[in-house]
Amino acid sequence: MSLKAELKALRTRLEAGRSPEALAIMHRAVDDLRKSGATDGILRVGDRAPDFRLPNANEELIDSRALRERGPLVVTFYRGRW
Amino acid sequence: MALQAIQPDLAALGASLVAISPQLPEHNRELIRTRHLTFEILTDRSNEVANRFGLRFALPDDLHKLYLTFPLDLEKFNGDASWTLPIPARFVIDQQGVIRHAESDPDYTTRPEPEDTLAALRTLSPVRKT
Repeated sequence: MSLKAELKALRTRLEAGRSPEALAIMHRAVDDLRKSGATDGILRVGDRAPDFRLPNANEELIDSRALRERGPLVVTFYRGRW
Repeated sequence: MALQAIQPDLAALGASLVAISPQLPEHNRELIRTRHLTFEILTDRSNEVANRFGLRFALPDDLHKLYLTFPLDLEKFNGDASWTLPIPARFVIDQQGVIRHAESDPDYTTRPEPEDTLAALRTLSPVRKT
């Protein structure tokens, strides 16, 4: 699925059939987060990335240092599949 | 995930990709099965790693209550009572552990363009896909 198609599906899944009141709460939470300064503390280009060891889907621990030894590492944070 | 589509490009550039969310591994197994993902998706309990990247936030009460009506019980889904989530974000980290590209957006309906991630990687890697 292309990114555009995927985002449309995401929006439909999250927002379809929601009441205007529900949508207002969801959208306000995004706006408030943006205005709150919560994004000011996000690490930036040039910062050192924290290393981590986390379980994968099979509950095996994955170590970021081991991945970095092999090459650059792309890390994506997402909320979940819901 | 659209990221799956750029997996061959990432591999050609010698890069690894991991996706991190607070959801329990059972949900990640489901995601891998239904979306045929070939990269690692990791469970970050209580968003501890997200917090170290500056991404963790607590859901406001009204949103917390709204999610319960969907029904979406994040406590059960994530195995964690904190009702926190990560701000969606993507980082390109070089082999020395330095962040070379960073994108984030509190709007959950946007995502970084995969092409921007690849462009950042191409500046790091001597390997180029022809």
